[in-house]
Amino acid sequence: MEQVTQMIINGFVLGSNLVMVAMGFSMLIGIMRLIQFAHGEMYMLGGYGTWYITVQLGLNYWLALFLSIAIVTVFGIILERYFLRQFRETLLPAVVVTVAWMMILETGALLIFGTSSKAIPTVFSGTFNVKGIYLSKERLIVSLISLASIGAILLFMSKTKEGRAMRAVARETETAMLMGVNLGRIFRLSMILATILAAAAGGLLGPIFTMSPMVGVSMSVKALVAITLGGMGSIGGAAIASYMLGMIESFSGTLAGADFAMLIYFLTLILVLLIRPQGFFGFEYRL
Amino acid sequence: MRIRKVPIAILVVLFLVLPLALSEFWLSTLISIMGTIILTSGLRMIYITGRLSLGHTFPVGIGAYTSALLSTKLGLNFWFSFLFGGSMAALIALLLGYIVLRIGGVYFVVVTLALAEILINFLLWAKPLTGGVTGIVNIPGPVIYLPWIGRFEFGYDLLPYYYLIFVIMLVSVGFMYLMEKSHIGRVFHALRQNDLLAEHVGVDITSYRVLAFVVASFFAGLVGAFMAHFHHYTCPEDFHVTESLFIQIYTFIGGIGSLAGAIVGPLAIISVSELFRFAKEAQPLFYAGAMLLVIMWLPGGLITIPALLKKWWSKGS
Repeated sequence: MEQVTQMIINGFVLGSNLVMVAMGFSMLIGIMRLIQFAHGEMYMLGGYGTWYITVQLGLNYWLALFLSIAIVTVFGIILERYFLRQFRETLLPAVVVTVAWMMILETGALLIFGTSSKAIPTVFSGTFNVKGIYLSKERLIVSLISLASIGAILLFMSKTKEGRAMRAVARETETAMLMGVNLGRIFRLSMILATILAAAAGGLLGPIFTMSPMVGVSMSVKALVAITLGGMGSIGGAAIASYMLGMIESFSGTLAGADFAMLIYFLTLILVLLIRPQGFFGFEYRL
Repeated sequence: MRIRKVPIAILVVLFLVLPLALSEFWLSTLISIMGTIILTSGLRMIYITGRLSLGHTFPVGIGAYTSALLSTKLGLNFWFSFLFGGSMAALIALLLGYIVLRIGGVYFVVVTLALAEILINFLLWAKPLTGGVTGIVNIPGPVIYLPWIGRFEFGYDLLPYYYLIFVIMLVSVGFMYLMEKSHIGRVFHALRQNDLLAEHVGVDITSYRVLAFVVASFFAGLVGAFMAHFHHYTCPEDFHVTESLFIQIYTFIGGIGSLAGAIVGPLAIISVSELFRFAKEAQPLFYAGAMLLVIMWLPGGLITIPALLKKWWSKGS
């Protein structure tokens, strides 16, 4: 019983790891209709930025997190304006551009920071121990922050004018344009939100999971799996699928080893795609 | 693409004579380029049926491991295990094709990525069979019996492998070229342009897509098997997702519009990037830079350069 509870908690933390990246990814695929393979790199950059500012420059962790999110977001805006916007609603050209940026960022991080993985010093030390179940304070706080971010994004999408415009663009781009939605602004806004989420995830999870230059690619692939399960463009779906994948990874990883966990992970994906190609909550995209 | 007999003949002769003058390093580079050309041509064939695959290492891996296992565990002759590798990849593509090719667009992209990941994780997991991370080592090279010389082992010499992959490349790319020229190829193009219309005039669209998928997978399996025997080892890391992304990118950089693009792409990118080998860790920067340059200023790929130059020349004078 204790083991099961521990596995559920671990799965929840693993899901929190993924959820912030996956939501932004889903937003981009829904609004710009392109697979942003460099999205995982934003997570990596956020983590490295926070690491560099705290460890090398010796600043406060929260200030470092804020600065690194700001820097990565500026980069994201430039990327969207000059490289992604003209390739929206394409499949292969968008893959080429984003993979090129993925390689540039990964190699850049490798050349600047080296291959060894970096850990941000922990801010909250100590663990809770309730009847033999361990949970570090840090993990609890990170999970709570990601839950809060889901809530904030969902509220933003449903209550504000900008959020509604974003949903309209995701549904029917042409109609939204006819209704007077400024498309370029919506693209920039969605890129900013997605980048902030990914960079924040990197900075927040840096103390728990170590950062290495390769982490971006695996993050992108995992996020792609999550949003496919949840339904492309659906943010709530991406969140639910992220936690589900966290559970799958935790359970099959504890019971049968990490390689087997990944096997189950992708088999689940194919199974779901065969039964319901648009995912749990999505509507089908013609891309 | 119309066939230009003279340039192709010159190229073939050049390819036949060139290895005698090349260093070992460039010889092995050329071998991997020719392997990649088979893969890019296959991917292009899947592409012209209207499906984008980012998991072409899946059939490559199946071919490599099938052939490696057959020749190390059962001691099968290279030529049989090689053909078995290709056939196994084709068989699995046939079984999966009817299921996955019904899914289109971005969903198919995700499925192919997932298939490649499933293969890697299966290979890592099934340690007793596949050796896990270390993979399979000491895979024997091909052996042939020549009429006068007798038993001839390929061993660790590069030259015989060069000629072997050259023949494989000629046969497979030639086969795919003829296929595209035939009635089947015209149906493929119709599927990309408007599959709904094609279905309505009575084309069994899934079967045609499966055909392209199976043929591409067969040749990819052959390449995998060849590479396993050429390197004498194979490990899951060879079939990483980034590898399959690369194969698709070569196709695009060369120019997806014609088969020549699938040949020019790997040839240009791999051989130029080998020149940058001194900057080993920064090498991907070169790749990425080339990709960005091509996509921003040459959307048709490298093969459109001659036409663009001609246009620029006539405008200038």
